[in-house]
Amino acid sequence: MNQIFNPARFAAYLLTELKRAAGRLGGFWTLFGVAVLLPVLRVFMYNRVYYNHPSYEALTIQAGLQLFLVLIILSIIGIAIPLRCYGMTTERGQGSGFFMLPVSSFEKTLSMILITLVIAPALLSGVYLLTDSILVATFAKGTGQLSIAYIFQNLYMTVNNSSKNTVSILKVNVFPTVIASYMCTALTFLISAVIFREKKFTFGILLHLIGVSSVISLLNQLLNPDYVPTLINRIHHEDWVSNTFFVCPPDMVGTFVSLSLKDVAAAPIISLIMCVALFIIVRNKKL
Amino acid sequence: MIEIQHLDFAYNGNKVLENISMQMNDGCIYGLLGENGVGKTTLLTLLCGLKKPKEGAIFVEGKDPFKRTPEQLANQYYLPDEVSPMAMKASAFANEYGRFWTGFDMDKFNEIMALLESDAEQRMDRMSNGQLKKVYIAFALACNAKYYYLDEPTNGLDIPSKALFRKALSRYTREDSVVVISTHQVRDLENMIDPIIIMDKRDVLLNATIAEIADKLYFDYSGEPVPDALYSENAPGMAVQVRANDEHVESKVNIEALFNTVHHHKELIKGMFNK
Repeated sequence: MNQIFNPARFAAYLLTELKRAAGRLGGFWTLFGVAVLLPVLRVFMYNRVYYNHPSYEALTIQAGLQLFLVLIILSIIGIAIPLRCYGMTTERGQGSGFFMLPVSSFEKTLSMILITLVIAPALLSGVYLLTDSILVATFAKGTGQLSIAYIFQNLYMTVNNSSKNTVSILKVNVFPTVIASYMCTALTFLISAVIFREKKFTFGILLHLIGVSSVISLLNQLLNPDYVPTLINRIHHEDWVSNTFFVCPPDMVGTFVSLSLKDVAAAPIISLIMCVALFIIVRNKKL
Repeated sequence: MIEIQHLDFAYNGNKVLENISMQMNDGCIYGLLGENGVGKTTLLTLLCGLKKPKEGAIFVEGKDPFKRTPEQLANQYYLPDEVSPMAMKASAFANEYGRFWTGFDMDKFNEIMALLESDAEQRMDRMSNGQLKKVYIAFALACNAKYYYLDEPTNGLDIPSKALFRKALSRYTREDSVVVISTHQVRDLENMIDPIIIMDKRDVLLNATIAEIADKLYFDYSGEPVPDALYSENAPGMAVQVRANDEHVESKVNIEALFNTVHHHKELIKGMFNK
C-alpha cells in the first residue's frame, strides 16, 4: 500500500469528497443559475422606467456589469466552498472523521485543492454558462455578444492618456487575472477553514487583506522593478484615466496594449506557496 | 500492542498528562475511567494520532500514530463522543466510506445494524443522537480494525441499546483487538472492561486487570460494617465496602466502588499496585 499517493484510493476519495461537497453546496447551484439573469433584469427595469419599452438591445452594453457580477460570484464561491466544505475539519466529530479516514494527508490536501480550485468552480461556472447560453440563444439571436464567454475573450478597456492627450485601448487579461485572484481568495479561505476554530470568515478576510494581498504586492514589486505590475498600477503609472470596460467589435482599430505574464505572475506563485502550506497544515493538524 | 513512554501533554501550558508510561496489550478491552477534565479524551486522541505528544512517545505496533499513514488509519477506528450526521442513508454512508478500511465488511455492517435494531435505510440527518451513535458503532465494528478508541460510546444510547452494544462489541471485535473505552457510565460496561485504567489530573492512578484488582482489594457486599474499610457505600439496594485483600479472598469487583476507593486513597492504591 503506497502511503503517500495511490491513484485508485485517491480517485475513490476524490469522488466521495465531491459528493459530500456537492451536498454541502446545495443552494449555490441555483444561485449561479439565477445570477446570470440579474443584469438582464436590470436592463429590463431600466428600459421600462426610462423608455417605457422592454428593449433587449441595451443588453450588449452590459459587459462590465456581467464581468463585475462574475467577479462577485467568484469571490463568493471562493469563500463559500472552503468554509462550507472544509470548515468542519476543526470540529471534534466531523473533523476526526476527516483526519481519521484512511487516506494520506497528501491525497486529502490534493482533493481539497482540486475541489476548491478546479472542480467546484468549473461545475458552478458550467451552470452559469448554461443559463447564459440559453439567455443568449433567446435574446441575442445567435450573435453571441451577450455571452459571458464572448465577453471574457473580447474584453477591452479604453484609457485616456491625459498628459499625451491620446486614447489607447487596453486589452484586459481577464482569464488569468480572474483565475489568479480566485485561487488566492479560495486558498486563503481554505487555510482559514482548516486553521481557525471560530470566526473563520473574519480571520479569512483579515488573512487575505493583511497577509496574502501584502505579500502579492511585495512580490509584484520584486518581479516588476519598474512598478507597473497590475492593471490599476499601470493606469496610474502611465497617467491614464480609465474608462469603462467594453466588448471590442471585431473591426475596431486602435493602440492595443496587453498585460504581460510577469504582470500577473505574483498571484500564481503565492497560490503555489499556499498549496504547500495547506499540505503542511493538514499533515500536522491536531484536533 | 500500544506502548506509551513518558507521555506529556499540555493545552496552552496547562499540563493535562504528565510522564505517563504504560503498555496496552492485544486482545484486551481497556476501560479508561476518570473525573471530568482529567485527560481521558486527550489520551484517546493522542493514541489515535489526532494529537501529538508534547514530550515522550506513543508507539502503536512500533509506529508513531501521529504519522497518520493510510495503513495505520485502516487498522484503527476512533469514535468521538459527539458524532455528526451525514446527509445520506446509513447504508450509503457505510458503502461510501467503508471502502477506505481494507477490512470493512458491508454484510457485517448490516448484521450489526440489525443486532442494534437500527434501520440502515434511514437517512442519518433524520436520526436521533442515539440512533446516529448506533450507526457509527456498527460502522466501526464492521471495519474489522485492530485498534478501537471509543469515547463515551454508550452516551445517548437507551437501556436496551446499551446491552446490545455490549453484545456487538464482544461478538464483532477481533481476538487480537485492543479496545480502549473512555467512559463515565461504568455500570454500562462493568462486565466487559478489563483491564481498568483510572486517571487523575496528569496521572494514572491505576492500571490493572480485574484479576489483579480482585487479588489486592476485597469487595464486601454483606452490609456488615467492615472496620478497616477503605471505602464504604450504603445506598438502598447497594451496600459495598472495599478493603485490602490481605487474605486473597475472591470477590466480585465493583467498578464504581473501585473508582471511589482509588480517589479516596490515591497514594495508597498507587503504592499497592505498583509493588
